[in-house]
Amino acid sequence: MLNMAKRIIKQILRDKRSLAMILIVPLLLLSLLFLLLGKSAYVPVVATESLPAPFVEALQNQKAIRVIQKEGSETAEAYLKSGKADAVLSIDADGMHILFKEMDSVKMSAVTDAVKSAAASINPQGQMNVEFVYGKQGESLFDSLGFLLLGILSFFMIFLLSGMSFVRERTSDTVERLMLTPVKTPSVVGGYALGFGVFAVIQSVLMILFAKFVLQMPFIGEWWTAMLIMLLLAVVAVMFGVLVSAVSKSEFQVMQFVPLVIIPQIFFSGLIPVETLPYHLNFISYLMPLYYGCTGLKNVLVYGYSMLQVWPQILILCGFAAALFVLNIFAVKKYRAA
Amino acid sequence: MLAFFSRTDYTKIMILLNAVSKSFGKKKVIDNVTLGVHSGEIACLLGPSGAGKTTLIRLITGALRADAGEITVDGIKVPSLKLFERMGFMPQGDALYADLTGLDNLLFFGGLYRMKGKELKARAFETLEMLGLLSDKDVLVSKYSGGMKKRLSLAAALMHRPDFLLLDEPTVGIDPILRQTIWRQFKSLAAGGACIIVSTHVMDEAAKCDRTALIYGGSLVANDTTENLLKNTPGGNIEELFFMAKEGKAC
Ligand SMILES: Nc1ncnc2c1ncn2[C@@H]1O[C@H](COP(=O)(O)OP(=O)(O)OP(=O)(O)O)[C@@H](O)[C@H]1O
Ligand SMILES: [Mg+2]
Repeated sequence: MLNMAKRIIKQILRDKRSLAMILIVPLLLLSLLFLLLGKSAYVPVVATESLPAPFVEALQNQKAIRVIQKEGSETAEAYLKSGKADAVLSIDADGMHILFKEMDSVKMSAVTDAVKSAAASINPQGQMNVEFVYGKQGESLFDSLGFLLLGILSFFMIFLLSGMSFVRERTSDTVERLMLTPVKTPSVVGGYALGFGVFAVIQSVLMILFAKFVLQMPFIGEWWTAMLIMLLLAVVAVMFGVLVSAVSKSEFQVMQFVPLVIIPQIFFSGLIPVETLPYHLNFISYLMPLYYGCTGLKNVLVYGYSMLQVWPQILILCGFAAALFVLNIFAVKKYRAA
Repeated sequence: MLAFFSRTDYTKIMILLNAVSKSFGKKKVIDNVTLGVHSGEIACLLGPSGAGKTTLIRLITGALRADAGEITVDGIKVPSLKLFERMGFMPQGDALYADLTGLDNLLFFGGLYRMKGKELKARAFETLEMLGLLSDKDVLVSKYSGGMKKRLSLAAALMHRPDFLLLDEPTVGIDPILRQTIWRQFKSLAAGGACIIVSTHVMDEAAKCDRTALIYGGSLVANDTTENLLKNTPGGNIEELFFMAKEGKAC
């Protein structure tokens, strides 16, 4: 098994591209998403229509929006369609109306927050204070989803690399030669897990340190527990990779499994909050290792759970790894008649 | 049919195939082959492309399971994990790790036989030397020439000094001088008691072997010592037997 692992490590070290794919690419993607999902500097334009002067003034004091006076006689709808503003604010007998051009969560929350606090500055009793047990208002989308990205990126990269690596073993016929030596099948599968596991450890350390110290993601839990979860997730990813490539005949066929094996796991990882899934579809997520990985990471990094509190996730991930290990032994065994 | 066991001085039958057949789907690729090869003997599977040489070798290795008949090596029924320890196998393709150096390939394959540390390293160097690859040991296999890959593949099969060797077209693409060196290796391995089966589709390779088995369309059309075959064949050309076999099948 050590011999197998050593060979895989040598192969990855030789292949600078694979090495970069494991170690650098996740950091690059993490940074890119950080920039894309980070706090938006966009200032929505709000047009006011027949509002009392003190309220307009209060609105103008809000820095998150730019207030203009709606001109002309066109309807609010036509005004927005022409692109002159992002929202039109008006008051009539029914109360206050905000008409948005489109549903856009960043613009919406900026405008409604500004309107609320303008209203409160006139009537302090109307102040609405929204607070969170975990996290703060004003954290970016990245801060609240970052833990998912750690899990998803690592899982995807390790899956691809181990899948490609094993399929190459098949296409170069080395697998037949390998299986005609006294090597034991569990050692082959274990060697793969160990060889990639070494890089998975380095990868998870790098990602966590990078997220914490460079991107300043607000982590509160123990980083080593998070790492353990990432490591287990990586082992599951290797097992998936080997399994998929054991039934694929080429690199291309491994790629064909991505939409089937990886993408649904991303959907059910918690990216869409699992409790709010419609049609009781949340049961599907209980079948996905990535869901447990990401939930575990969230519990540790966002809720600050300790190792003792995330044992269900850790145990289930170990279970997945063990089950896939056994499946892989059968999948690899078919290369040897004995 | 010329299939029979010839009298030789060899003491022990090492590899024995008894009425072995194998089909892929409906196609019968190996048809009722019976063959014995002794320890210390070099036997050649001679046959045209598609005759079933590779399939027969894979059956003996244990990579494939025979549909009918039985194969034993030193009395042990194939397929068996026990035999892998003693078997040297060189596939027709290179089956090497192109992204590793020649030395790393040998260290890996040798390591599979539980050789370790200094012993493993010494063995790898010795084997590289034997096949004239020592100066290229640190070159990536992807940068090797075709003949170098063949030699490294052979080296990988020899790392653990096996008792029996199954070599699928080992000298294709190797120049005559090197070919001679390699054949000398085979002879010395056989002299040490190893049983060697080599497949080829050229006559002059067969001439170097102690025994020749002619395989055509999955059947054994002749099996005798090379000497006897040459004696009994019109014009001393073994390939004549293929044409005879072809005509025999046509009638
Ligand atoms: N895995 C397989 N599935 C189906 N048919 C196969 C398979 N392997 C071999 N065959 C068929 O078996 C026959 C014998 O093939 P084999 O590879 O044993 O020939 P060979 O004598 O080694 O030829 P060559 O000299 O070209 O290597 C061929 O007709 C081939 O098409
Ligand atoms: Mg062949």
